[in-house]
Amino acid sequence: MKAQLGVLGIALGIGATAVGMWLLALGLRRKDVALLQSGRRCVYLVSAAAVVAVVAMEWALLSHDFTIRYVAENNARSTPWLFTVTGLWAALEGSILLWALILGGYLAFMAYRYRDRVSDPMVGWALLVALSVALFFFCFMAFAANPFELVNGDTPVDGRGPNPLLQNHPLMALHPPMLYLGYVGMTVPFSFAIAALVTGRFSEGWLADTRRTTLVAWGFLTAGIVLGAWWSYEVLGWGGYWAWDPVENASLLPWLTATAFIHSVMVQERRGMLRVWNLSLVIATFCLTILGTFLTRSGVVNSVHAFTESDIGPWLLGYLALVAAVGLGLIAWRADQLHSSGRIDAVVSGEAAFLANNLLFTGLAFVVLLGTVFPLVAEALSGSRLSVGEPYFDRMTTPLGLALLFLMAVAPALPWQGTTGEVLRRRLLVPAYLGVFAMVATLLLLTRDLVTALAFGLGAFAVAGIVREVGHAVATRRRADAVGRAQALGRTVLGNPRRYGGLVVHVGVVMIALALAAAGSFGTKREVRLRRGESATVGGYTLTFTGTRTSRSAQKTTVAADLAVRRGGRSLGTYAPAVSTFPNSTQGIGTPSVRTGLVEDLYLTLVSSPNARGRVTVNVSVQPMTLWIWLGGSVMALGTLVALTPSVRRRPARVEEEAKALTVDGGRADERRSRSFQEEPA
Amino acid sequence: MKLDRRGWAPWVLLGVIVAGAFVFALWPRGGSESVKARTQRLASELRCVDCEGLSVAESSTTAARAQRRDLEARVRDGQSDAEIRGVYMERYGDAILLKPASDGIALLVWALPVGALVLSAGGVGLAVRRWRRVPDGDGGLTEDPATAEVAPRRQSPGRRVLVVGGLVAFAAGSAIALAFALGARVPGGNPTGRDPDVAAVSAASRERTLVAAAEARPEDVDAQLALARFRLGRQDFAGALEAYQTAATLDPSAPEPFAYSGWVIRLQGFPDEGLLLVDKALEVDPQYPDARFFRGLILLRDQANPAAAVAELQQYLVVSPDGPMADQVRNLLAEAVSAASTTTSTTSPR
Amino acid sequence: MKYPFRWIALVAAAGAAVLGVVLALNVGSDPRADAEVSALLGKPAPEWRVTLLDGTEVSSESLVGKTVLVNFWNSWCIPCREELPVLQQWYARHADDPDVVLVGIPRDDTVGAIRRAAREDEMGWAARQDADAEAATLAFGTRGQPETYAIGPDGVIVGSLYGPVTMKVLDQMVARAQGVG
Repeated sequence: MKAQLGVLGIALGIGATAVGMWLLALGLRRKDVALLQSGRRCVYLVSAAAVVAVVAMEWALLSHDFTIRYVAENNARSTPWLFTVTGLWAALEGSILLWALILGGYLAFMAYRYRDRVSDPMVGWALLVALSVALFFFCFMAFAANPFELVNGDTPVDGRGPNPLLQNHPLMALHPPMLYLGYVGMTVPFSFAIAALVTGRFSEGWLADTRRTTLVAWGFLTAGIVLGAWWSYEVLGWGGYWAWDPVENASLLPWLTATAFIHSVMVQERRGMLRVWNLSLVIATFCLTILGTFLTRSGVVNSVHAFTESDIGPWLLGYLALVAAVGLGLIAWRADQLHSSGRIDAVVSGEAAFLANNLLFTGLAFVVLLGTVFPLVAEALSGSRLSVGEPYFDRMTTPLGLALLFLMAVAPALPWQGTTGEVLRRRLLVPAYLGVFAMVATLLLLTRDLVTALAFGLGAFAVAGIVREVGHAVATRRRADAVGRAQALGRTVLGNPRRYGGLVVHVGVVMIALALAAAGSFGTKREVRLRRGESATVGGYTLTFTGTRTSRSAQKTTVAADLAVRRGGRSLGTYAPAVSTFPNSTQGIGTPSVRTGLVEDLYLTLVSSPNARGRVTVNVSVQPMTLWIWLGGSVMALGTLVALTPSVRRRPARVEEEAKALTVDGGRADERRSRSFQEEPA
Repeated sequence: MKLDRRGWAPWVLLGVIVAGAFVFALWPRGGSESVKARTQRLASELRCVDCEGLSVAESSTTAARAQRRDLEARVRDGQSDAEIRGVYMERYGDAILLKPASDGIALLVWALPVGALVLSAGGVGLAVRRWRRVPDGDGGLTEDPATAEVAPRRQSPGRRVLVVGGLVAFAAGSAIALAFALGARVPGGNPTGRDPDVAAVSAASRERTLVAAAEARPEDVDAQLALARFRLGRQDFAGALEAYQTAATLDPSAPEPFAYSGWVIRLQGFPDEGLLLVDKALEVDPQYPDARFFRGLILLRDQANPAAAVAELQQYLVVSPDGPMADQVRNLLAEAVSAASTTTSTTSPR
Repeated sequence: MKYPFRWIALVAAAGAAVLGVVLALNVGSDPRADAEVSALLGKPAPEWRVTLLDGTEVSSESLVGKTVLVNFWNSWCIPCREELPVLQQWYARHADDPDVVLVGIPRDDTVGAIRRAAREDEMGWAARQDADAEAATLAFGTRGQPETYAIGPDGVIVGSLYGPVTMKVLDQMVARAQGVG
C-alpha cells in the first residue's frame, strides 16, 4: 500500500511537471496570462506530489515495512525512532526523495511569491526552468533509483538497519537536510539566470528577485558544511574535521562559487558591471551541485560518504552535461549583448576588489576541483594510479585563503569608483598597524610559522577594520539622531542590514581562519598505554585510567574506558572514550570523548579495549582553538540572519526602478542620509 | 590615487615591518629535523590503507601504527626520504602517496593552478587595458557626485605605476615566501611530548635493526661486521666475538674478523689466545694496520716485550701514518721505546 | 578580441568536455576493486619470516624453490571465516606435497585469539602473531584481510587476491606458479 502510494506520488510529480512545463511554454509563446497562471498552479501540484512520496516513505519506515527494499536495507526493528525517521536520507534513493521534497518547497515558494507577476516572461521562464529540474529528479526516481522498489522474494523478518556510523549521533537529523536546503536552494537563482539569458533581460531585476533566496540557501549550505565538520570531529573519532575527502570537496565547490556570487552581485546592483561573471557563477554553482551529487552517488571516487551505485552514474552525468551545455551555450550566444555599462576606474576601488574576490574564489574552486578529479584524469591519460590528498590541498589553498583574508580586511573600506590616499589612511591605517602588531607578536611569542602569523595578523586587521567601521557609524548615528549607544547600534544595523550582517559573517570567517591556522602549528598528540591506576601526562593534562565499563543494549555493545583528567592540580572530571560494536556488523565504531575548552580541546579516543593484561591504549590529542570553528560558524549563521532582515532604507535607485513591484517595505528613510552613512566624509 | 609625500610614510614603514617579519619567520634555523618530526612528516604524506583518505599520521588503526613504527625505524636507520617513499611505493603502488609526486603526469596537478593564475592575471591585465582605452560611457546612473567621494579621473600615471607595481611585487614576494614556508610545515600538527628514554631506546632498536639485517642476509659479511662493531662499541664482548667469528667463517680472506676477534679475546683476559688470532689476520693480510696495532699492544702490555712492540708499532705507522689509531700508536711507541731502552729482548719482529 | 566571452566559454566548454569524458569512462569502475590489486604482482616477493604455532620457523629463505601460498588472516574478520573450509581442504590435500607450502600469517589480531582460533580449527599452517608477522604484513603491502599471495619457486609473486579464496583460485595460482618454475 505504501509503496503504491509512493510510486503514485512520483508519477504525479512527473505528470504535474510535464503539464506545467507545457502550459508555461504555451503561455510564453502566446503571451497568454491564463495559461501561465495554470502553469504556475501546477507547481503546487508538484510540491504536493513530493510531499505524498515522502510521507509514504516515512510511513513505511516507521511501520518497519520490510516489503520495500529501501526500508529493508536501511532500517531494522531495533533502530530508534529518530534514526528511523532520518533513514529517509540514509542512502541513495531516499536522499533523492529528500531532494525532491525540498525542491518542491522552494518551487512552491517561487510560485507563491511571483503569483502577481506571471505576465513577466522572466518569471515564466524561471518557473519553466525550475520545473525542468524537478522533472529530471522525478524521472530519475521513477526510472533509475526507485525508492519504492519491492524486495525480491520473501519479505525479510528484520531489516539490515542503517550503517552504524549513521546511527551514532542525533546530528544525523540535521546535517544532510541542511546541506540539501543549501544545494537545492541554488536552483532558484539558477532558474532566474537562465530566464534572464533566454529573455535577453540583463537588467539587475533578477538579482533583486532572488537575493534573499540565494542568501538563505547559502546560509544553509554554510551551516551544513560546518555541521558536517563538527560531526566528523565529535563523532567519527579521528580527531579532525576536514579530510579533503572527495565528497567533502564536492560540497565545498558550490559553496565557493556561491560565496563569490553573493559578493559579486553587489557590483552588478550598484554599477551594472560583472554581469557575465554573475551569470557564470550562478550557473557554475548549480552545475557543481549536480557534479557533487554525481560524485557522491556514482561510485567514481573512493570516499567514506560514497553511496555505491553504478547504474545511476550515466543519468547524473548526462544531466550535468546537458545543464553545462545549455548554460555555456546561452552565455556564449548572448555574450556580446551582455556588454556591461560601466568600467573599473581605478585599481584600488570597490569594483576591483570584488573582481579580485571573484578571481580568488574561482581559483580556489578550480584547485579543489582539480585535486578531486585529478586521480581520474591521470588514470585516463596515462594509466597511472595516484592520489591527491591533504598535503596538496593545504599547499594550494592556503595562499589563496590568506589572500582572501587580506581582501576581506581591505575591501569593505574601498569606496566605489576609486579613492584617495586620505580615505585609505583614515580607514585602514590603524587596523593595518594592529594587524602587523598581531603578526609580529605571534612570531615572537607563539610560533615562527609564517602562515600562522599571517593568518593571525590578517585576522586582526580584518576585525579591527570592522570594529572601526561599526564604531564610526554608530558614533555618527548617535550624533545625528541624538540617541543612546544601543539604540544607535540598532538603527545603524537595521539601516543597512546587508552590510552589517555581512560584516558579522566576516567576523565569523576570521574566527574559523584563526582556528584553522592554529590547528596547523600548535597541538600535541600522543598514544598512551595505561594499566588500571596508571597515569600519563600529555600537553599539561594528567590522565589516570580508572577502569572500563561495558554496556549492552539491543542496538549495540559499548566498552568505555574511564579516564580521570587533571590539569594544574585541579580535577577536570572523568572522560570516557568508547568503542561500540553493532549486532549486524563486525565494525567497531569509536566514540571519542572531548573536553571542550575556549583555548583548546582535549580529545581522547580509545584505540583498543583492555588486552589480556588489562592495558588500554588511548590516543590523547590536545587540539587548539577548535571551539572557535563552531563558534565562528554560529557567528556566520547569525550574520546571515542579520543580513536577511528587511532593510529600513531603500536600495540604490537603479535597482529600485527595475524591481519596483517587489519590495514589501517601500522605503522610508531619507535616501541621502542613508547613503551618507556608507561613504562618510568626516 | 592622490597622495602627498607625507602620506606615503606610514605605509612604507608598515611595509618595512612586514618585510622584516617575513625575513624573521623564514630565516633558516640551525639544527635538523628531529626523528619524531621527520617520522610525522613522512607519515602525513602516506595514505593509511585501512581507511578512506586519512594519512598514516592521523589514523589509529593497527596497520597505521605498525607503519608509523616502521617509518621511525627507517628514519633512525638513516634512510633518506626518497628511499623510504620508494619502498612504500613499491609495496603499495603510487597511490599510497597523498602528496602527488613532482614528476610525470602528476606534475600537471601542480602546474595547472599556476598556469591558471598566470592566465587570469593576463586576462585581467588585458581587460584593464581595454577599459583605459574605451571612454567612459556610463551615464552617471550611480552615485550623486555631490555626496559620493569620487577621485578625479586624471591621475598621475607614474604614481599609479609605482603603487600598482609595489602592490604586485609585494604580493608576488609574499606568495613565494609562503610557498617556502608551507613547504617546511608539517600538516596535522607537531607531535610533542617527551619520550622518556630516548638514548636507550634508540640503541636497542638500532641493534635490533642490525640483527635483523644480518639475519635477513646471512651471506653478507658486512652486515655481520656492522653488528659486531656496534656490539664492540657497547662493550658487549661476547656478542661482538660471536659476530666477528661468524664473519670470519663467512669470509676467511678478510683480516678484520680475525684481528678483532683476537682483540676481543684479549679484552676478555686471554692475550695469548688473542695474539694467535691476530697473527692469523696478518697471515691473511700482512699490510693490515689494525692487526699491527693489536700485536704491538699485546706484546708491550701483556707479554712484556717492548722491543718487538716497537717494531710492530712502527710497521703500523709505515702502512697507515694517518690512520684512526695513529695517535694512540705514537703514544704507545714512545712508551715502548722508553721501556725497550731499559730492558732487552731477543724476540725478532715478524 | 571581438567576442572575448565566446572564446572563454569555448575554453570552459572544452575543459568541461574533457572532465565529462573522464568521468564517463570511470562510471562503470569500482575504485575500491582497483585499489585492491597488489602492486607487487610480478615482482620478487619481499623477505619475510614467521614462526608457526608449533614452533617451526619458516622464512622466504627457507622456502626458496617451493611454491608458497601466503594467506593473511585473523580471527575476527568474517570473510576469513568464510574461506577457512577451503584452506583446510587444500591443506589436507597437499599435506604430503613437499613442493607446495601454505603459510597463514595473522594480521591485526592478538596473540591469544590467533592461538585459540588456530587450535579450534586445526590450522596447521597458522603462524604466531608477533613482530615478525607484523613485519610481513607491512612488507607485502597488505591492505586488509584476507589477502592471499602465490609465490613461485623463483621467488616472484605470480598471483594475489584480496578477499576470500576459493579452491579454483588456489589451484589456478599454484598452476601459474609451477608453470613458471
